[in-house]
Amino acid sequence: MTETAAVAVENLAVRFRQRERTIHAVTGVSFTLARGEVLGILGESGSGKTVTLRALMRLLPTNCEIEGRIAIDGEDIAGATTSRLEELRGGRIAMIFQEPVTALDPVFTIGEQIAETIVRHERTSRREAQRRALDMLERVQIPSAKRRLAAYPHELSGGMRQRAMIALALSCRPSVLLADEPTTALDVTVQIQILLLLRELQRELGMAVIFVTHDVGAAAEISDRLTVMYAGRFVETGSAHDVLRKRAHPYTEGLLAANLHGAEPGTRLTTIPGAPPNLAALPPGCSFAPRCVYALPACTEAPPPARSFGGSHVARCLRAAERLAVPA
Amino acid sequence: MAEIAAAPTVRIDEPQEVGVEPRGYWVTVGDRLMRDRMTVAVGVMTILIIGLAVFAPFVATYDPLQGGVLRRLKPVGTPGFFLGTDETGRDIWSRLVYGGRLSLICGIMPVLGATWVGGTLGLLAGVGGRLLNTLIMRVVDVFYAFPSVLLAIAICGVLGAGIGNTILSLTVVFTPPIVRVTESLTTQVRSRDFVEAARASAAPLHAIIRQQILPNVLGGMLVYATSLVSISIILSAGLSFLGLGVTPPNPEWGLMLNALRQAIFVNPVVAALPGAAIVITSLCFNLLSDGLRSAMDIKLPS
Amino acid sequence: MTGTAPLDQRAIDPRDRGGPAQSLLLVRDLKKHFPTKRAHFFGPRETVQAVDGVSFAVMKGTTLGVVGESGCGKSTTARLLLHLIKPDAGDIIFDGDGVGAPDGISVRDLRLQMQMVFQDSYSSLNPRATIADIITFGPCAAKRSSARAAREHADKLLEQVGLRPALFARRYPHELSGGQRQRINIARALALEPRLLILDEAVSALDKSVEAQILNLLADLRRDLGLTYLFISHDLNVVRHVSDRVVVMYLGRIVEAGEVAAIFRRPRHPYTQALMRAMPSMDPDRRTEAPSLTGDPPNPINPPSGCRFHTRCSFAETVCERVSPPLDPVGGDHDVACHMTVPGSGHSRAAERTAADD
Repeated sequence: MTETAAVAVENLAVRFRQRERTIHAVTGVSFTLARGEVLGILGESGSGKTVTLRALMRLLPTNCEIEGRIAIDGEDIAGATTSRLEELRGGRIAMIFQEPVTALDPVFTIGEQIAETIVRHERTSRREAQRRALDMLERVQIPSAKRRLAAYPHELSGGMRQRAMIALALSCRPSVLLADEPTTALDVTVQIQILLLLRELQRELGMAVIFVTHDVGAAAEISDRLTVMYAGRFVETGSAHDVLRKRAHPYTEGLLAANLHGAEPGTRLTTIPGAPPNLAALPPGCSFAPRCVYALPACTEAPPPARSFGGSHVARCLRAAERLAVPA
Repeated sequence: MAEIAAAPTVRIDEPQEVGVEPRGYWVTVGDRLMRDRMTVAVGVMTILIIGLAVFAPFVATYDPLQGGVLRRLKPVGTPGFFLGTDETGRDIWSRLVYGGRLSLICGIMPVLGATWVGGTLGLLAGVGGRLLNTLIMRVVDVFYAFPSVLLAIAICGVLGAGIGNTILSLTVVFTPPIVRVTESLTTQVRSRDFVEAARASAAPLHAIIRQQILPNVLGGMLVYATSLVSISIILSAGLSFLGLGVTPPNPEWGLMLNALRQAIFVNPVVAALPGAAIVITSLCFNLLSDGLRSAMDIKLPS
Repeated sequence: MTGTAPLDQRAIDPRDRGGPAQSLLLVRDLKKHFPTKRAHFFGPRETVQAVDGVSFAVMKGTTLGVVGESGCGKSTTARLLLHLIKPDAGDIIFDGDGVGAPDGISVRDLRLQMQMVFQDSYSSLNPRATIADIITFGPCAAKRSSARAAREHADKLLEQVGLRPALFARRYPHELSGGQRQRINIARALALEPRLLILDEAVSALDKSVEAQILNLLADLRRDLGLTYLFISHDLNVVRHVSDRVVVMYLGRIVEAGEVAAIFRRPRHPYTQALMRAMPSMDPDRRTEAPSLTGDPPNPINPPSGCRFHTRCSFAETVCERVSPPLDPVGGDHDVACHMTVPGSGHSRAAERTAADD
């Protein structure tokens, strides 16, 4: 593949230094994302998925250390200057959040906010920017778009605010969209609308999307490729089909088994015993070993390397091969 | 198929940091205060000032009321009177440390009184029904209409001079703002889920106020009250300056400032010393209050 | 979580009044309208019709699931039941005794038998109190237990919810994880030894693996303590898993109610059908192609006339706009509020349905 990957990350590590301890939020994360591809990052709270996303835009607080290579469209982000980052954010890379209330400025109308972003990044005239703002609102299927240009964020309902935020994020045709749990706070009937909207817009604009979520259903609906994150590491990566069907890593298996979707009503649910590890004191070997039903002494010695299972499916587990009955 | 290891008997929900002692909120606040260098410095300064005031009889070099016409307005650095003397020959340093007592009393007592009265009224307004709230808050609004300095002057003018009346008038001046702050905090805390849970537990209202609401309101009140101490010191000095507060020959800083006004062309440094004392003390309390506010603003992990 | 042993075989609670056949909680025509601020001085005052005529029954030892989206009134209903908000109209009858009625039980007595587990928000636990304080507050303040007795009771409760008292009693809420905080919420609710527990989105804020642990815990507690649950959630999967019967709410009204298997196997109300279709597919090879409903859940201020769902319903006709359909049985333990299921209602599909049902 000679085409530059939209996102290329190599050995990303993020550490937060506090007085008495260091929190290893992200360790050894590597992946590439091609243009027009959707990568889903599935993980629970504390897994490091949001930190990973923010590291890509360098939106982390100053007391943290970032290591590793980050490249967007071939351009190095890890070492970029602040002014270059400001140009890229909103223009080349955009982000949407879980709570539109925090992303939208309450004292400006949404039309003004979108127009301002367009003017700032693409230096068009005000009128042209407003025309494009209207066009964006129509694209995200906000009814009566013309009237809504003059609406303030608090005047819109939850679903519409989310659409407005998407319109804002996509106004400058970014090549990479980072989505941090954008559907988690929405009602289920609105959630599916937004997921389908994102899918459609992603296809239309050919964007690369990284979609972070803790909801397996949302991940299944939107991801082409899926990675499962635990204690700051990508423990399993592959196509959505492979990961959700084969479940090579025991954590993936446990996570999907705990899902209510297939469970027989009234029965006891399978749970993963224990709790996630303390990120300031990670165990020496595999971070999941203390809770793993398949753990061997070898698992606690060193973090397992990524093993491949055909195609692009990899998992960090010493026993995955025998569990899947596949020659390693 | 390879055999699967036996399921580990992991006890669910072991807290991850076993051995870390549970720390209460105030312990954490104290810890953060200690780490803030500015606050520690200011705190030491404040303790020093209070110490000098409390131990005035041991620190003063002369009787603060004893003057001598021959040694009027000596400059700073005069042997024996290292901060000089005032217009009747009394030692400035001794008068400053004794005056510190009066200024600190006039600074702290009104705030304590206002916190007691205002805090109670604010709490009642916050938890009471709409009628009680309207009653209390609108009365408070009336008092708010007066600028605090004028209000203090008016009350002292009616009651007469003297330290007791000064404290009383300043208490009245500070009560309305404390009522407002407390009412606002109480209303915020009242709508939180754990208070609703307490209501749902059929507990009587006084228990809910005492155990659920008050501990969460106290912090904010403390910060606000501390910031008022600095204002109180200045206001009481101002009242004395105008002749409405402490009466001569008591060594109160504001009174000293007034008395030394005429000396400003003769010995400006000495004339400014009481003013410097007021500024330094007031600033110390102000910065302490700021430090306390920062220390209490803990972003606890969600 | 579903009812297992027949009630007559289990020890009856000494506070039981009417025996197993009497519903533990009976709600009739509950209403709550909130006035909003006037737009201008002489303008009309609008009302938010948060709960508008809700009726249901919860049988002893069972779980009633209440499902709906934002604005449907389920949380308001929970607060009305505990009288945290005063109802405007309607009856709440607990084990045969009317609440607030002269010959019934007082609100205080009701609260000693019915408690609520809140959603795990950061403010569901008093940040300035230790875990032990939080759990002993109810018994000490409301029932005047001695401090020691309350403390022993709290330790037992902590064990029951899966936390070691030695490790947790002196801790503060901010030191705990979401799952642990939720266990404390449950322990606090159980401290007053209630018979009915209202769970208001009790697992919604938790990670899925923690949610599974908590649901298992709730099932165990229901069995061990002989509890009855009212389980409120927006998550259909959870409601289906835990409930014996289900009630679906939309804009302050119940649109469908009945036995859980019947409703999930064959939902009859278009809204319920849309809710189920809106759940994301777990299979990446068979994705959802079109959303089941467009637009957002409407605002409870000035709700639509007649059937409140008619503005978004693909089967809406004139009768739906004019007449509000009553909640009627459609066979077995299954009630629906829709003109399509009522023969002779004036809806074109009504006649069809009856013929297919017979």
